[in-house]
Amino acid sequence: MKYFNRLHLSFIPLFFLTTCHSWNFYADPDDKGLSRFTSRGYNIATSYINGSPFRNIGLYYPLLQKDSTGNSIDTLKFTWPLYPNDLPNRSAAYDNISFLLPVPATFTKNDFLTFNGHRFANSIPVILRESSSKSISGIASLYFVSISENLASPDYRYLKLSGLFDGKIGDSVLITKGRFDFEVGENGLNF
Amino acid sequence: MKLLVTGIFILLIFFAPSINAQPFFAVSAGISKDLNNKKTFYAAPVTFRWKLFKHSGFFIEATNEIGFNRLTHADAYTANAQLPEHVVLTEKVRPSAFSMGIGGAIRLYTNKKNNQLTLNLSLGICDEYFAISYRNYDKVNYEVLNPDVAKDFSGVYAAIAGVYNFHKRKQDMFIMLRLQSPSSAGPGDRYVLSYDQTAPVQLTFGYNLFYKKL
Repeated sequence: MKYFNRLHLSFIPLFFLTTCHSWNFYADPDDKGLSRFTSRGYNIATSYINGSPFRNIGLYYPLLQKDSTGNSIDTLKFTWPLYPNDLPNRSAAYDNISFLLPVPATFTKNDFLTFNGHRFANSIPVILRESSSKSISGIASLYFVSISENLASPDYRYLKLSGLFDGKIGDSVLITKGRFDFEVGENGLNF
Repeated sequence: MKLLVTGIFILLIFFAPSINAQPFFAVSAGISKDLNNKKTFYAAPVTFRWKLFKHSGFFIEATNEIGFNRLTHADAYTANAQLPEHVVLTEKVRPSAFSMGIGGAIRLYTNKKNNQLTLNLSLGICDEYFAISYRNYDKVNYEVLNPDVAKDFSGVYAAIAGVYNFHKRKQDMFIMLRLQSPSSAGPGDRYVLSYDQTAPVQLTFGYNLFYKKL
């Protein structure tokens, strides 16, 4: 009985991990392993990398941060961690994906809101960090289909952003059918 | 409270005054309109009712709703620079439902010609399915934003109907106005769809087919 209780308790964290992991993933019936393309702040991003489905981890926000270069052009970094979303590829080799948008040093949140409906076609540097900590980079298309600001609560203001992406890294890595749907708290922004 | 309602319902079914003192099959067809969705659904219902006993209003019913397509617009987008970034698609939602249950008929009014107005109450199980498709959807290059997906709802329903039975040229006919509740099936997940289960109000016309004359 004692053994059973211990065994039972040991499954509880696993249960929560599993349920949290699949919380906002709504399977796309047309693209196996990907979540549907939504604009509801589900905090989900999925894509194929060389045909295998990947998703972000849990309900973590993406990193949306302006990196100062000391010049007139800074870099807006849009990053989230990657997790393979099909069983055969659980050991797949990518840790995170980053899109690097060149922006003026004076870039503000209001400038970011003007990206609403803007498609950056084959012009955005993309970096895939591999599990071995090695990074590989290429060029991506990034389409901010909708960006809106929620001002309803004075205690918690956030940006809701959703869009599509694809990219190519050399001749070996192809990112296709990418879609994201995030809520990003404004208190975490540095622009 | 639920127990009380169930008890009254059972008493009504088995001890309500009989509508016609002989068993019959009733078949009808007509049109229905959904009252549970903002963008409403229409369907062609076919109903079958079997009154089994001579001196009881108890019946078994089955209804098949053949839904008509509901057309709306959907937005699809692509990151592919070679293609227009946004296209508008036509979304087709087609419901279909089958329900089966038991009920009781209460006679409300009978005139000199023996035409009758009855109130039918019923409970049963309903299965409703929504099929989704997008016209001219290039699935390889475009993604529909907040797409609807096919869904099946199964659960318990309750229905209330007013039935007017009348005779013409030795034929027993009826007109029925029936309202069925959405089934008790929950939403399943938090994903928001543009449709929900239907609550059809049906207007049907049909025949009573007596199979055992007294």
